[in-house]
Amino acid sequence: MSPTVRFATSSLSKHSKLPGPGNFMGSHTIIVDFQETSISKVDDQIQTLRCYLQKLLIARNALAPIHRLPPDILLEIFAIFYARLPTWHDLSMLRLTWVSHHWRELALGTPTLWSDVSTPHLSAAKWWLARTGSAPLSVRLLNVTKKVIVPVIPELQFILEQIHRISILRYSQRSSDVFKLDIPESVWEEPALLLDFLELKGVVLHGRFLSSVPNVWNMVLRRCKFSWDAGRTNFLELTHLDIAFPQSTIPVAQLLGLLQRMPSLECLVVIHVFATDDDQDTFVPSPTLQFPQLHTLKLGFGKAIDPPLQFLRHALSSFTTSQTMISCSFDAARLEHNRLHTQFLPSFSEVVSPQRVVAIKVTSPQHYTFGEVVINFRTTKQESSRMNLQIETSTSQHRSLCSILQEGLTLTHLEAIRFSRWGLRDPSGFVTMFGELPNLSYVDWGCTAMDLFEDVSLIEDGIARPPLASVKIFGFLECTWKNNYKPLAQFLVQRQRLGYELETITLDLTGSRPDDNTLAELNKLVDVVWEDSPEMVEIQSVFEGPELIWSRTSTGVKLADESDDDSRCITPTDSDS
Amino acid sequence: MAAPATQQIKIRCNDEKEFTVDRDVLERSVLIKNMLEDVTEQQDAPIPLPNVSGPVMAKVLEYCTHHRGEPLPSADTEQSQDETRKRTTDISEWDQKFITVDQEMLFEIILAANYLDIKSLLDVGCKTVANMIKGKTPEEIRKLFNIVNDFTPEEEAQIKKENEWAEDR
Repeated sequence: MSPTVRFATSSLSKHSKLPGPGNFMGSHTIIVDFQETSISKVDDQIQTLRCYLQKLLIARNALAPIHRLPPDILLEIFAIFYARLPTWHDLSMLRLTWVSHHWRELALGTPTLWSDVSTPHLSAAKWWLARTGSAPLSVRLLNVTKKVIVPVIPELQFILEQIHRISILRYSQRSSDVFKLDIPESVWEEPALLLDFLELKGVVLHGRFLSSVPNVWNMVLRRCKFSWDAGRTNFLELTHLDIAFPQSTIPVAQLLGLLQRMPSLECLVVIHVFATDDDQDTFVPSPTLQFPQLHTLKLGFGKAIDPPLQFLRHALSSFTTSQTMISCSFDAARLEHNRLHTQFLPSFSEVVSPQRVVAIKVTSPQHYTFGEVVINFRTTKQESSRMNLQIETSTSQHRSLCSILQEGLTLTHLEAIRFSRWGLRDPSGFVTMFGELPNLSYVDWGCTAMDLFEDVSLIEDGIARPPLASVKIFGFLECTWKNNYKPLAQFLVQRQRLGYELETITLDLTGSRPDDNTLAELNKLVDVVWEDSPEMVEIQSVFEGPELIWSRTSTGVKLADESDDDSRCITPTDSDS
Repeated sequence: MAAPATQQIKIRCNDEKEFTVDRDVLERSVLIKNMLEDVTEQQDAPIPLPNVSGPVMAKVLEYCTHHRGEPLPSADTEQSQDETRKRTTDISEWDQKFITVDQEMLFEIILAANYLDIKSLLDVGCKTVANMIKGKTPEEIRKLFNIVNDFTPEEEAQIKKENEWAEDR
């Protein structure tokens, strides 16, 4: 008896969305007779059936409720999904194309869904770029390792050859890498007219690269080597320039030559400005070099043994307007102690009136007398008189730092203090100072909150009573209830009695995703906060990864990236059990 | 001259279900707003909405009533805010509760919002679906939306390659 396979197709052919009839749709039965045919003919029929089956599957999927949505809406959903990917190097978009034929066709046929190219895409750069059609590209190759760049792999070269349609180019190597990415001159043969955001860190640029990027509005060049010759190019769009050369130094004359081509600057950051002896002798301030829109000026003199004071004074007086926020950094190890007081700080007070925005950052190695000190006064347009003080130091150095601050600067307008993560171990010295700071309203306690809050009596005794509105606490992932949360909770419980009107607590969870235990710990804190302080406006969490939602109703911590069905909403009861 | 806020408008859905609704509520729909602006004289005949059923329209009206009085996005701001809007993960608590419906209804609401041109509702719907997809494997997404694997052998081979590449990263 000959084996016969019959396929009844009549019921299937009723559906209007099925594929067209094809050769076998005319009859209702397909008969494969193995006695009267060859293997190749059977293979042909198998192939035909497979093809038909696949069409049936597509037709079946077309009936799924979600496919009632027209393609443009499905694409809008994809676009929202894409826009919300936690990082641009996420491959979730690719995985979306593995769902079904329809989704794949739709997603792969939409260049804008692929226009972000980043480090993980390097090994498949050609495939990835083929998806992008002619759409403008955002290229973010960050923390690229030596392994990838030496020699420059063809894929990277291939991406850079698309420079004519790249609108955002960010490339960085680890600062520890001695090697730099060597971008050949040929890349810049065609002007990068779409390029408006350029950030290169650790790159050697050949040729007149600057004249190929006339339309950038943001240019960051750190640890780069390039020719300062911009030809006749004027950077009329450029509002943000950030140049830093830690390994070498920026020559003043060439810097000024370039700045003359950038009249629209709003933010200028130049680190490691260096004056040669010639510069010091011949430097003539140019009264025409002004930036009327400049709101931020940051000058760093880093390891320069003899920072160009004349340039500094010229920049402060000539570049800036009354709205400009100024900050300067010096490496204190390279400065004599007394020069900080006798030359640099007075320079500021001479050139910049006390009401002007000023930020001074002085850093030094740990062994230096006052450790690392950051003095940061700042004023923004919105907060015209706000001033910040950032302090990083060790316990033994508090007193000397206090005296330096009091000698060199007036702090009566200080409104905010931020302690570093490893900073304050013995708060009493600084807390005593708070009494002399009538405008202080923001204190960021750093990791050392427990020391302060355990000593509530210090505050109770009236030694310190800053009108706190906001507190930020670092390092909670390393904390425990007993050592860290509990003192804070105690403080929160007592704060009303002490006269504090705390509105915001920011918990810095930077580092990694909190595990269940940490979430449970955090929940205890949230529980205390909202039980005791129902008027608390906000608790924020800052960390890399999925967003935490603090649910006021359940006093639970929920990971926002999980649906309601399977979310991990840990209540105190859950954690106890 | 602008019609008084309390003017009542009648609409008729494709299942003959009729609603009488305040004009300002209905004007959340740009489609209906334009229709009403085109009509110079007051008409008693209901506005036919052949692409929306009664139950879906009832949900849409619930949304429009809740959001009545809120400013409508203008054509100028729409494009500039488009990216920001997409990136914004927030769906208000009320909207979240409102859109917690079965899949059939969710997609019907999205289709109705698209047809009636109610941008904010369309947005809530699309964001909800995007949230449903987020964090899921292709297989989980298929299961969620009752889709089967329908790739051609060639596509399967290509996906296998992509898979290996993604794993190797």
